Amino acid sequence: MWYGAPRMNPSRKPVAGFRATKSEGGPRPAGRAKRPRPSFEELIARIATRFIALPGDRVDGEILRAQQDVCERLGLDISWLWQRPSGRPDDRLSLQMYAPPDYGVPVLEMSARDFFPWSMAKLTKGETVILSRVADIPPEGARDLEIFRHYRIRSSIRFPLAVGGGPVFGAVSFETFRKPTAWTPAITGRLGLVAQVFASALFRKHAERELRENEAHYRALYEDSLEGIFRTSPEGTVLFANPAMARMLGYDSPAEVKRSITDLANQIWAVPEERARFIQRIREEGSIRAYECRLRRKDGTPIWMSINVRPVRDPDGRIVHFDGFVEDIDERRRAVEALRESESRYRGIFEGSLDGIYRVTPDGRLLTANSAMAKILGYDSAADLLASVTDVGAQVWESQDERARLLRELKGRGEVRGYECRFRRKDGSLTWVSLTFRVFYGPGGQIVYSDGFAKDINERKRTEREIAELRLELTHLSRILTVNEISSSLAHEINQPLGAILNNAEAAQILLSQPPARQRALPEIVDDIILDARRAGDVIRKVRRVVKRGEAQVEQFGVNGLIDETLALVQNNLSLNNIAVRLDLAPDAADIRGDRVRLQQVLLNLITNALEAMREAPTRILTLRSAMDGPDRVVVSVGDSGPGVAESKRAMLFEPYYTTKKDGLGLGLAICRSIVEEHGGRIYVSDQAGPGATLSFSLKAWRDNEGLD
Amino acid sequence: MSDSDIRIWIVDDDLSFGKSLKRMLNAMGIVAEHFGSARSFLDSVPAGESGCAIVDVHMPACDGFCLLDKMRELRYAMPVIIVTGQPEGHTADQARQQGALGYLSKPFTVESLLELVRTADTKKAVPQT
Repeated sequence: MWYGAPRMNPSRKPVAGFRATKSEGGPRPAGRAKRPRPSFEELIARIATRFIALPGDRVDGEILRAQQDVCERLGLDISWLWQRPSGRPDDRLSLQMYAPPDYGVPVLEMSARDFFPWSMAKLTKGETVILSRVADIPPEGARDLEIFRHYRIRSSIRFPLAVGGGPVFGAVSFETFRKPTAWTPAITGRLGLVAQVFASALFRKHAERELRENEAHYRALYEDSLEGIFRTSPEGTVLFANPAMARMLGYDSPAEVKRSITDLANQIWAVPEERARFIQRIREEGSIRAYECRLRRKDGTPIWMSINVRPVRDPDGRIVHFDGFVEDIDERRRAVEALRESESRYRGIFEGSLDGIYRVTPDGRLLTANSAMAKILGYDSAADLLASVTDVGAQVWESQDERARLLRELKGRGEVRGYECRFRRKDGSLTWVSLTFRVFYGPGGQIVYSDGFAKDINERKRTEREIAELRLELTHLSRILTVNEISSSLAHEINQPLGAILNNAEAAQILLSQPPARQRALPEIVDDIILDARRAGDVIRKVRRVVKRGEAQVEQFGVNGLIDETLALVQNNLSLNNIAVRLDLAPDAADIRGDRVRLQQVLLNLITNALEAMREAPTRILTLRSAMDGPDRVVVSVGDSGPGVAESKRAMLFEPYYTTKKDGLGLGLAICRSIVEEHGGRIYVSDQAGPGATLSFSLKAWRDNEGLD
Repeated sequence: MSDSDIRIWIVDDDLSFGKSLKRMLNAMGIVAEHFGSARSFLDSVPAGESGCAIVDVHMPACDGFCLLDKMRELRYAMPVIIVTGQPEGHTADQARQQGALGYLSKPFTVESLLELVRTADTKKAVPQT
């Protein structure tokens, strides 16, 4: 396909491609008419001569001049020249046109696609297009005809430009608009000759340009190459060296290399005798590739090089010089060294690690494992572990499903940290590990292998369990202590007046059986009894006040925080029992007010009940939800995936001494209810989709801190 | 020996209780005195005095056990009955260890008190002087 657009001549002056004919030819008709008219053959010869040794950048101008000469000599009006600038078929098209000075038609601005498409198609195929009358063009050439008419062209002949049967790289045309021309074989042949001359000149121009470009290309390669390029003489001097070569040898420039080095063997080779041996090998073997040797830099420091060299011989077979390039392999050698070092360092880390490290295939074959891993799993050594375990999923994981699930869940994430699970030891016992697990995928997305880093967390787990137990015990203990404290101080305060009342009553009883004279004290005794009875009443009231003030700490707080805190208390319990937690917390949940500790007890109790309910359940999902129930109530729900609560049992659920547990007292939910109701809330069983039960409590919503100190 | 020969010294910071106990004992014809603190008892009743002391454990300044120590120190011979409104296991033990004759938790009946007082009298008929 042809590209580019014909040039536009906005001035509407006589058109002539690159240069105005006027400026070049001067006042033509007058000047030329005086010269004797040469024969056309002579003209062609003269034109051909002009192109000899003509620099490429002047070829186009000379062709334009020839176009003019030919037109004038043969009485033709217009000549076009199209060419692809570099002769390559995918290049842009350029155009030049000769037309007489009085030719008043503006050059059309159009795309090359539209520029004589029919003619161009033929020309590209190497055909000559001859139209004595453009009107005779076949219907397919309608677009060409349109353009001919625009230029007022009546006859046209067009030749493809190609050399020696090569690809067409341009075209030349001659046309008339003053009168139609019958393109006789004679004139066609002559013009064909002209086209040949143009083609040769243009071809040479393109070839020259390509050569220049190639040279620049090779020069750039040579100059910018990171490899050292050299040409040396058998005598030991440097004929060429590129900047990289100079740099490698520690010289400032190629020129300095050439100047300074006169004896390669002694100046450059670390072992001077090696050069003679090297040259001997070249003589015998011809080219030598990747010869690694030690050379010396300008400052005497050694440098490892890899040399590729070939001898260049004269026609008699004598070696004129050596051409070659060298690679600095010091860097590579250092890199290899560094790699070796880092490998041994990593091996050290791998072996010395206290954490177990292993690599495993997706089907559970161990590729490698360190001795810490063997120790964690109770094997004698890493070798013992690698030999004994053929399927990690079946032999090491507590459950094969868990491993499969982990691998599945990792898809897309690739890594999990701190995954706590139990591994089976050689003796069958289970051991807690915290696992960092990384999966490596192949290009097709399949798992290639996974790396595991296992930390022994048995100690921590035991501590956690102990702490949890201790905490429970402490909670219980502190509750007992509180009750004891209250009851003993209560007892003291009440027993005093009770004792006095009893004493007084007994005194009165005795006096009543005595003579009336002794009974004068009776009214006073009764007064005292009444006083002490009141005192006892006051004591009870006082104690209740104290107890209330001491326990109820009213504050305002968010339910989501309450849920988080409480969940943290049972986290271990959850992981121990394989319970998945689903949190569904409303971000806009309002605050509640009350005794945080006691409400936490309520939530804890509900969660504990939920866990109990799921003890035998196949799937164990604990759902904690916060939500708004209208603008004024906040609801906290605890859902389980256990057997659920039968409709008929729901009413009894919160009654004291109702229990489904073997060892339960049935007080938990009753206490929860009393705490929630003390807070002005409500506790209830709500319906849920699917199996399990959901217990909820709702409390008044508080949006601000109004009225709270 | 009849009850009327017994002299009872009540030491209790709870005035109402002390007064009611004295009243009750007096109604039975028993001589009884009430002191609101260990100090006033020690100041008013000499060591050689006979009778029985009924001492409350919980008192400010010098409590029941403190008084018990002091009485032994000052060679009081009379038996001491410890009473308390706050019954705790260790109180009874401590009372016995410190040589108290007995231990009663309030409220107590006059009968239980007199039973104790009578054993004191049978055991220690003659005060050490």
